[in-house]
Amino acid sequence: MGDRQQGMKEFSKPSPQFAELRAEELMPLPAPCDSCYAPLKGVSAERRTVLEASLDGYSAIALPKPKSPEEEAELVGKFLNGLRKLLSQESNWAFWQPLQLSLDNCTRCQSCSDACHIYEASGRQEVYRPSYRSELLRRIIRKYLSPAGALRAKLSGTDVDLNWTTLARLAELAYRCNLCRRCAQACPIGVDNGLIAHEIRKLFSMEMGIAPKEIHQQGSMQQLRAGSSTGMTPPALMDNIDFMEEDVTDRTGLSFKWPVDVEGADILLLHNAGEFMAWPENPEAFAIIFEKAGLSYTLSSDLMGYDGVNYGLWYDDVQFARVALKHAQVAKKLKVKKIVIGECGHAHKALTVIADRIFATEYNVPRESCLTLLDSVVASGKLELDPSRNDFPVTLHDPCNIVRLMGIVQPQRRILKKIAPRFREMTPHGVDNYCCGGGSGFAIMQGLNFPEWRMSISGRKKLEQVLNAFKGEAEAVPKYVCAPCSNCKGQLRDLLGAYGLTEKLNVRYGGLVELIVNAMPDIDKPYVEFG
Amino acid sequence: MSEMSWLAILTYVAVVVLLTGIVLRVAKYARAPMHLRWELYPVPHEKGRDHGGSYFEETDWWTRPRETSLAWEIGAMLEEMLLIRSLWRHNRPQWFASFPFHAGLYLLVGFIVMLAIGAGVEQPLGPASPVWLAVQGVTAFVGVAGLLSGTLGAVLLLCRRFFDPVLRAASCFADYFNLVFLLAVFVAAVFAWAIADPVFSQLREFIHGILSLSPAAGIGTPIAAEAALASLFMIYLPFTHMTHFVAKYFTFHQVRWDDAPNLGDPAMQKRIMANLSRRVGWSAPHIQSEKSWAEAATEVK
Repeated sequence: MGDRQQGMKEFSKPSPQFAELRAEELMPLPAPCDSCYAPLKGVSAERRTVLEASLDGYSAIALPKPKSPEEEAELVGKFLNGLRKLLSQESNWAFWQPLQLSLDNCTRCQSCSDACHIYEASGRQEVYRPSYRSELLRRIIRKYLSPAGALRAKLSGTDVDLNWTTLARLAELAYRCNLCRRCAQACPIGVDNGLIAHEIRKLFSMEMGIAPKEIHQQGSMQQLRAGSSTGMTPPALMDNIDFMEEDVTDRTGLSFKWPVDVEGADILLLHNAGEFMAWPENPEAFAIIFEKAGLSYTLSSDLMGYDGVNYGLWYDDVQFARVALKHAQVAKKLKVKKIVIGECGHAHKALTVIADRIFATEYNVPRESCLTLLDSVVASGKLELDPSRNDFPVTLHDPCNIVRLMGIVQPQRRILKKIAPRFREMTPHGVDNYCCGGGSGFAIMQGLNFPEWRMSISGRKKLEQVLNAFKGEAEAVPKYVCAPCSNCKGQLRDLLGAYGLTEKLNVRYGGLVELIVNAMPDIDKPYVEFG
Repeated sequence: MSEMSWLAILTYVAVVVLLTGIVLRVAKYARAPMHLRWELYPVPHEKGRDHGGSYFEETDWWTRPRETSLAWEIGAMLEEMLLIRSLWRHNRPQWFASFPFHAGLYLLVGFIVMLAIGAGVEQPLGPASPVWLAVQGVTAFVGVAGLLSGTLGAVLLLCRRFFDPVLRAASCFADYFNLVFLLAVFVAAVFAWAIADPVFSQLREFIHGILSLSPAAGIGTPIAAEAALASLFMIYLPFTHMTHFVAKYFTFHQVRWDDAPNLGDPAMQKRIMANLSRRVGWSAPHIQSEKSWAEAATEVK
């Protein structure tokens, strides 16, 4: 454990930096990563004067500092208003019960701590304990919103002042949790510290308009305005589809038109639009599989109908509801029988699970995971598949949203066991998996120095799992991390790049559909390519 | 008013405060609006529970009959309540302290029930009845086991909080106070049993008096101290997180394991519409705070 315990009483006291991270205290990694990446530069003294990074030297939100005491007082007032709304059944009906249960009943047994990959990877930094931010919130509520709170806080030794320093650090601390809820799984009472982090994010966004720009302005706001969080408009989508059709022909020799806006198709296939831009081979593989399996499906070129992401899931219930409703409206308009969600974890959970109780009957179009559908397609024998074409070590990353939070565990494994003879599990896996470290928006938060924290801390445990999964394999042997989730792929891309694993160990990442297509014997060239 | 009367009043107040606290706590959670789904797998009533699977693992799941079992769920709940399985799995050192502590509490609840039964049957059965002797024997065994187990658990929990650096850093005054208070109750009870009440006859008499609304007079000081401390603890309990035994039903059944899909059930639809008609209320620039959720979700600012 790190030797610098950050007492909660110090949290509200202004200082350049509350928690100090040191490379030598981080969780050790197996070779060859034991010494290959250890930046932890934090933020420069110059930037610190204008930018709020006093939690741990990193900034996820890019909070500007208030310019006057009046502005600070106004922010504190807004926070307290937001806190009242968070605790109100009327304003926060969506999560009031689970939040209240978690606020009321923690016994501080710390079962959650060892379940948290961030806490462990950081060398057990006190401030990253899952219950740390929850306890801070409890103390603020107790002191500022309960009878004789200030006196009780003093007497019980749980005094935390609410000032700009506290607010800024708490806002950042809400973005030091991947919302993977592994900690909640470990809690004997069912307290959910991930939910509390989620609720703090909501307070800042829904009351104060504070959220990382990548998930708000450039994310959900852009999606609602332009049709996609990537900024891709419907005409741009059609250009992309033209390109991808040609690309499929170049890569596989197959030539067919992709169905777009086909009214009455059985399936609306909803991809994460990031795939079209960053990993076109993924939607292309879907198109190949669906075409060969003879499925009746369509893509949509309607606003929002081609981007399944819903960043509101991570920080804002209103944004979440807006996007989810648009997705349902698009499906309704196309008169499809069901929506099938592509390889995107949070899109799975957002539309299938969380939105389930905001859909009135008219919008309640059935939703299904692509993994389930692919499992049935592979099992049906409609595709000719030769597993020997995937004769290289493959491991599977379980996206938290699909596995621990949705219970889809076996379909992807049944497929891999059929098409990847050298498949091996990570340890642990399934519902006990570790987050990739990019969850809850981290993978797309590329600004300021946050990626450095993401590479050093939140992705560390997954990196260790990947290295251990391929332990004993020769360096030159091609290795594949199968990650059926866009966000997780983004994180793996950055991790493998930062630690040089593609060059050093010939590790590549990709989705599940690419492996399925790679096993098709009638396609001459390998679909999955290694360096 | 005699000393005994004060103890009886304190006991009645304690029972009323405890029961009221529990009822209010249950009502607080039970009357909450239907929240959005927030389940966590494995969900034990699902047929795929062994690997953490859900009905989402099947194609066209909404067309298939759901295969769930209340028995599986109750089994998991009992395992969780009685054996604290998640602590065993995820925090073994804490389990070795927490299990005897909670087992002690469960036994003591059983002990009080046995005392009450004994108070009711002692007279009708008579002192030589084998049934009465059995009741007396079981009561004594459960009581002594509960007190020793609870005391051991409380001491171990205190030690862990004090000596484990992670727990110590996370603990506040109330955490120590709660344990010390409960330990004091246990120690007072052990002391009373050891020096004054080896077969709990005085305690049974006291409980008989309380239950029959005719509190016995002349109770010995050790029993009075035990009863007073226990009563004070019962008054204190509803104001602490130690009521998590109430919350656990809700955290597990209504949050972690609530995966009931929205398949057009009119009652669920009604609750959805009620939620969507609430005023949003939040004030950030991108939100229309005066509108309902249904309106705010369809009109982007």
